[in-house]
Amino acid sequence: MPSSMRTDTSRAAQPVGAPTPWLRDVALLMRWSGSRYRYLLPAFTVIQAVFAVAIIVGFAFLLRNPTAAEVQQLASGAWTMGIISVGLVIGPQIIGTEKSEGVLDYIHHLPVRRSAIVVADSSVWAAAALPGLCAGVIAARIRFGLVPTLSWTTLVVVPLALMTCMFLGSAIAHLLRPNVSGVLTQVCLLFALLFAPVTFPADRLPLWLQAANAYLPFEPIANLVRAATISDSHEPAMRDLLVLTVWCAIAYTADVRAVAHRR
Amino acid sequence: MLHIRHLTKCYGTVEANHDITVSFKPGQVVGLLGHNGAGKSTLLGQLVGAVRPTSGTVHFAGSDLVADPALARRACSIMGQSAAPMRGVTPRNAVTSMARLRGRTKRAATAITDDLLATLELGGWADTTGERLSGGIRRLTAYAMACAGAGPVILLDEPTNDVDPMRRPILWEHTAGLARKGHLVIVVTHNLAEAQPRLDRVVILRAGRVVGDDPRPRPREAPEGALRLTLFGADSGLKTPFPSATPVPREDGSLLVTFSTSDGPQALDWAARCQARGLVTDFSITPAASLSTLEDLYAELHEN
Repeated sequence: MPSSMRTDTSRAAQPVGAPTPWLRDVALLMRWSGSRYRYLLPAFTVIQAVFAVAIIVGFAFLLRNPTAAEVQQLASGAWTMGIISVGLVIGPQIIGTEKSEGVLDYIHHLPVRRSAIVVADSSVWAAAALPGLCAGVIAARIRFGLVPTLSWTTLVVVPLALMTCMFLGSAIAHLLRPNVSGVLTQVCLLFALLFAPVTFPADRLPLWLQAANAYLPFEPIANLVRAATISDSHEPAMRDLLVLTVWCAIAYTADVRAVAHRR
Repeated sequence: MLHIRHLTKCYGTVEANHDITVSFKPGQVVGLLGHNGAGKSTLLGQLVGAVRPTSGTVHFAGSDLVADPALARRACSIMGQSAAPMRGVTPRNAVTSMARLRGRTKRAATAITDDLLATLELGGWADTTGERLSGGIRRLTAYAMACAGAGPVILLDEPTNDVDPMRRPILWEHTAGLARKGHLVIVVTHNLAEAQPRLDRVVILRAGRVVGDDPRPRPREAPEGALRLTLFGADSGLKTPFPSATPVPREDGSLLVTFSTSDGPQALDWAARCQARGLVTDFSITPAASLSTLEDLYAELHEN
């Protein structure tokens, strides 16, 4: 008799178990996803660091004798782009690959709540984004001598912004075919970089684009990150917080529904 | 008991399965057979709550699994056709994680993992990350992941693919053991010769419909003294020296010729000459009574 027939390796005769606690599922999934994604972390950090340095150093060439306000906008804009790029580009790319390889199907068969899968994966990505964000901070320190402040608003705003972008990117990757989601996320990234007031002030955009950006997530994220990290000169606006929270809720719901979708 | 009633799944105008009604009882290994596209994987997907049936019901122990996919996922654990996520993860880590996610304590999960790795003779690879493992070891790990802390129903989609011939009997023996413990094990396989001795029942799907349902298929009575010559790599127009025996093309591309035992020496001589001239790449001669392909089973069920 094989040894596993002696040990109770499975539950045949017992009734189907009750759902396991949500937080336990999230913690276990995070641990598992963390070990699966561990090998991606170095590449992940390097891409983000290059992105942050490109904006901070490269975009500065566009400005002749930048003012303190412009420097703050550029540096905080680079940090914001770091958050957006992880959530809207790198995350969906990896999800798209996992979708093609059938890994997503495997994860969706697990006996855990759909919301636990969404929260665990997004949290792992958010945590993985932190070293890259630090690289952006170091780049700003070297180039402009700018050091971000850490306050309670930073601890609320950065995770909220990260999770919103993760949920958005994940929902796009789950709902659309990999090639379509790849194009859409690149378009989003370009929009955030060039057509949203992230690295430059809003008044440089045409009025209609300013109005549109007030309801899109990128400007609120940029405003909140700037307010949270350079808090002696900017106060977080409740409107930005509200718009971002609504986007977070919409993206989370879309993501959970996408994961719960049965073929 | 698992009761499937009038289950149908349509993708647009394509019917993946149609009006499937079948019940399974615990403590059995059931072979789910059929050609590619017969609807086997769709049926497994419907059982585990990944595919929403267009119509019909699935009930397990009185609960409606179609209405409650979360319950379906807790009742059924599945080893799918696609790869289990193994990159960066060791078999020990992967199997323990599955047992934990199925509600086991850390201690129990560790014991389950040690046991499964030992039983499936995976100990030598237990701490090697997935990308460095061979396809067969990854497949066995996926099997262990499906079994670790599993609920009453275990669904296996071609579990022995890529697994070396030495370990296949270990896997089948383990599967039989799961049934003895009271699990319902449903196995999709094309390898009937290998699975046959371990199956308690066979259900055959064709074009999304159940076309056969038989308790343990026995080898049929051999036609008096008949032999079977299987030719691999042969052209379908190949002429045989036996006027009464027409070569039958098989699913795997081989040709099958049935003849009487008295023609054995002549058949062996002819086949060897065909191979020497490069007309066939390989051949085998077996008693016609052995039941090794799906076609045989179709024929068996048809005759019954």
